[in-house]
Amino acid sequence: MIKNPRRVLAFVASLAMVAGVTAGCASGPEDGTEGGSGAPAELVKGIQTPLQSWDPYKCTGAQSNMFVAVYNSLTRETPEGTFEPALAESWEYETPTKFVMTLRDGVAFKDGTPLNANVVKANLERSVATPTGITSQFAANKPQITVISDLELAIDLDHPDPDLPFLFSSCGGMMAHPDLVAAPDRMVNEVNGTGPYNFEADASIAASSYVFNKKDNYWNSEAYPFSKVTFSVIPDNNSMINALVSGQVDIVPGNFQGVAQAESAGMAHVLGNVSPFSILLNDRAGKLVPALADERVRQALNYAVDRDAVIKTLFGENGVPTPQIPAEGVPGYDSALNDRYPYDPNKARELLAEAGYADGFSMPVLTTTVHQFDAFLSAVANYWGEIGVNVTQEVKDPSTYLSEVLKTNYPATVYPLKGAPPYSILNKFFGPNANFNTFKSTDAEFSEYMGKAAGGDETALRDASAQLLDMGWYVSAGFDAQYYFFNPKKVTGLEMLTSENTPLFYNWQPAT
Amino acid sequence: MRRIIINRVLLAIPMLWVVATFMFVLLQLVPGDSAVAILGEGATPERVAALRGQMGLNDPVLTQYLNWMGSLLTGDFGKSTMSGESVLSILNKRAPVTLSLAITAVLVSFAVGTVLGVVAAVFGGWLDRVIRIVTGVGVAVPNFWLGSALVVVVSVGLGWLPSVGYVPFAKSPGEWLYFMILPITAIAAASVAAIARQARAAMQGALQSEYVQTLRGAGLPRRSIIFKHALRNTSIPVVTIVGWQFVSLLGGAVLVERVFALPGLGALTVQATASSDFPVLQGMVIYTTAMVLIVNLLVDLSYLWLSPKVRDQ
Repeated sequence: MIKNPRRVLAFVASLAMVAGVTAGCASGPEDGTEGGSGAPAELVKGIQTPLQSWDPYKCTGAQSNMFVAVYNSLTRETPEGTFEPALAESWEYETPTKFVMTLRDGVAFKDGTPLNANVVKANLERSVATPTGITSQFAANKPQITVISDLELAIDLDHPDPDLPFLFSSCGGMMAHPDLVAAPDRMVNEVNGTGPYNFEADASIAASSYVFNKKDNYWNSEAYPFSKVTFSVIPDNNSMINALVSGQVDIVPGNFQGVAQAESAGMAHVLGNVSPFSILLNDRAGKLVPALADERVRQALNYAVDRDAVIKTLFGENGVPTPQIPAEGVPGYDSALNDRYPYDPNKARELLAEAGYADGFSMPVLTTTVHQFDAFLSAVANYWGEIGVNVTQEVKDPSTYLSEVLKTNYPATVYPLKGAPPYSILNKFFGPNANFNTFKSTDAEFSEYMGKAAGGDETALRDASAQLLDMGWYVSAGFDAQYYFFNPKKVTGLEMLTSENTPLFYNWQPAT
Repeated sequence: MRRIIINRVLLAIPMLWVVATFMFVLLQLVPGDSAVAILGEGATPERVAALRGQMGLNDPVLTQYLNWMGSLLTGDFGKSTMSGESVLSILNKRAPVTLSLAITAVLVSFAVGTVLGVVAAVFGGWLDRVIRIVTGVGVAVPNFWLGSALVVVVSVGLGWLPSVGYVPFAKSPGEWLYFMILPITAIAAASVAAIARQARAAMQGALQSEYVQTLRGAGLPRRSIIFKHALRNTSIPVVTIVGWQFVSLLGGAVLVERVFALPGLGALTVQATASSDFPVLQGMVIYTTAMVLIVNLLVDLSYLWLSPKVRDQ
């Protein structure tokens, strides 16, 4: 029995006041402006992992947009896979091993320090000396950097690499203030770039939210109309979608399992098909599994897989089943290669019989438990089982997976062949000295095509891609489907990149 | 009391050493290479070897162990292999999130659980049955599932509270509460249930004890018997389980922090494990072990305050 109802009422009233006050903390307008005053809009984007360091050479793909807010890169990748000027106004390969670029005039850091050739040289030299995944391709080329004039510099390479404009469009091409370049340890907590926004440390919360306010006099102001951008760390996919639907964030990454919930709440999405889900058949000399030495066996493994079914199961309707690595619209793509290995288990059995393996064979395949790698291998292994090829799934922990992939302990490994333009991908996974080419297989014809492709010959790149398919050096089911969901009442203009599963933070506009 | 505190602190030192050593051995056995994790896909064998040399990973295991223990003694937990930031600095940023979550959840659990347990024991009947059923469900429901359900109903469905995010208490207590109501509810539910069941059993035992019968016979009012005498004796088993609950809440925070995107130690553990950031993992184990030892000390001290029998011993 309630003896003092007035006390209870007072308690309920105070709770309601707290709720009212706190709810006011996070409420905001749903349209693209603030309070209908016509003031510039704010944007909140979800990211999955917190920032580890402001050192651009330690950025990850998913965080790259946060770095774009504060740093400028030398070039900018477009959604079409081409490259446009950013800090570098123009560039060219004078020879396949000499890259020359001219910098944009009038760009400066917050303290007035100009962005010139010496600053770029210092940054690029630090990238060579900094051992990370972002810098490794450039560093491996032993570049010699020469300042030609205040705004011009040349890079001499040890061997041809047509993908420098790509490397310079990513975090590897971001330019930091020379004071930080001289003392890179400070970059753990300090940031100073020429990008469109200032990082607001006081308004940010460590490992939770990162707040950026727009600079007043940025050289490309129209491409960044939002006055304030916040990156909110949300590690879980379901939490991402919930935060979007409940109006806490405006843009989140996701997968096809979130499409129904997002669409029912009126959210829109952009779609990227970037990662070819593949199995590298590395043991091409048959040291561990003799059957893999026979090209017909590797071709049989390609014919045996129903790519349509595998991709649809893993990624829904928007995955792209294809055996080739270059995506549609980028150099090296050949539509004819989509039909190079139609699903034909009878043909696969015939090839196995011709090679002397009519009864099939067994082999271990390496996989891991993230990004559906294990589900992908299970699906493929089922199809291989139908032609008598029995797979033992060797499941390794994600933290050790890369180091296991780079060893010669396994004849075949699951890996997405992504992360760069096609030339770099083919070189990274199948070049004679490539890390991922663990048994160092070589093929004269492939090397010849790649030599020509290094000089920018797109036909040779297509030929190299076709040659890989003919040799059956890998089995790819096709491209995954990576989604970015967004609130169309808040933001428009998102377009996915071809090299990375993310829309580049550029030219996003407030919805009107 | 001072003697007890000094004894416990002295005992904590070998305990921390054992845990630190065990953790070091464990991480030596775990496959994984920080150098490969840092260098990524471009990890040529030469660059991996060079980086391993720079990081001291090529030193004999004993040398690595002695270097690490030497650093620990000076309060240096090392640097994160992924970011280069001091491990202690990282832990100091993340710990307040988890601690504020766990401490508030424990206080809420203690208060609500004790009230429910006492009410169930004192009133009995249908109220007791309802509380037993509810607490039975509460113990069984996983906190991350409850968290997800709360998000779907309260945040997405009703739009009353945020589904993700965090504001430090020091920055704005009101906003902190606004963001933490759901996580605290999710993580405290099982503890409330466990404490309520313990409090109910202890209170029932106390109410049936001889000294309570004597007090009743002496004509003391019921309220006085319950709140002045029985509740005090009920507190000892309840405080014991509160200490356990604090430790289990630290573990449970891993999943709840993920659901609500809280930047605490749980989220850091997942991140450090995924990137083979061993110095952070080692630092975290030492840090959380120290927290558990402190909580155990506080529980022991509370016994002294609550029970004259323990004081005399």
